[in-house]
Amino acid sequence: MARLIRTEKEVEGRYTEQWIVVEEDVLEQWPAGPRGIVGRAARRVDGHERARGQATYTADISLPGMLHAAVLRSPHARARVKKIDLTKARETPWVRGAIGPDDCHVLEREPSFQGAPVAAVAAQSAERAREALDMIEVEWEVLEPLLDPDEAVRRESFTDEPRLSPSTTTSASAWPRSTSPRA
Amino acid sequence: MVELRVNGHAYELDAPVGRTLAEALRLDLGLTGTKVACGEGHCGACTVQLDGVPVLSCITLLHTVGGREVTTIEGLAEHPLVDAFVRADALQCGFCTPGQIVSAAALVESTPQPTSEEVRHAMSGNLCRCGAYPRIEEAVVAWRG
Repeated sequence: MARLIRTEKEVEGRYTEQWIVVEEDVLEQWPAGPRGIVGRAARRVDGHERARGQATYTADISLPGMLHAAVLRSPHARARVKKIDLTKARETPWVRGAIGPDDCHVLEREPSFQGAPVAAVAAQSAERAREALDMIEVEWEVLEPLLDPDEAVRRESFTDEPRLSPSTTTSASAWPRSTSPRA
Repeated sequence: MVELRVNGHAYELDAPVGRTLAEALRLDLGLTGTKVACGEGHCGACTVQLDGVPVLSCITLLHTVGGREVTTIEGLAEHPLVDAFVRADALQCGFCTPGQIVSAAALVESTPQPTSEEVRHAMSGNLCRCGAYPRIEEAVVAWRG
């Protein structure tokens, strides 16, 4: 037999009443007494292997002919790559490849956080790859970062298409906020 | 040419200037038990012992350790601390664990019965992003089982 239970739902400080249907069927209880598995400590199967440094992590793998990549990251919170010159990096003997925002969608022409990937090089060793990053010449147009969420909504600056319910509009006041004080 | 001893074995390494001890161990000697996480001396994952003293191998240049004795996790594979860590469930991903054990091994060598306070002090250079600290402390305090 089903029954109704009243509960409360809270989303960002707004409370709404919620009724849910619960099946009446009572769960069968475990018999009393110690359990064979539940409640008992279990030794990790790979504990010794990891503690002794014998476990293989990605960084420990070395394959024949393997290349190492290094990523050039944005030093600015928001900026535009006006010009990027990969020629020098590409011409360096130990560099096997260099790519920028035109070559891969992950590499950003307009990075929106400090550390966003902008360019990448591949070389025979990680050290050589890191060195080659210095040979990439970037001309930046430094832009003002957008730090206020309400302002972001006003400018419709979304990283993805916003998923709005039909009754919601994009005006900033329509976005509910929790009761925390605002600066 | 650099001569050094690693876990009791003598090696002669021909490496470019600027080679770190961590690179020499991992790349030249294939001793990948020593881990490199931050690569700039903050996290302690790369800790090895140099003549019994814990050092950060990622910021130690190979050419400065000529003639010294290096002990890595491979040299401590049978140390009771390994079992103590597993017993206490003191690791999750385990990436920092070799460095933790190398630091702890130096501590218990000089202080066989460390207090919690001594463990916290001696191991403060070893970060664990899984946050296993309480159990790491427990493992080192009770290292002799």
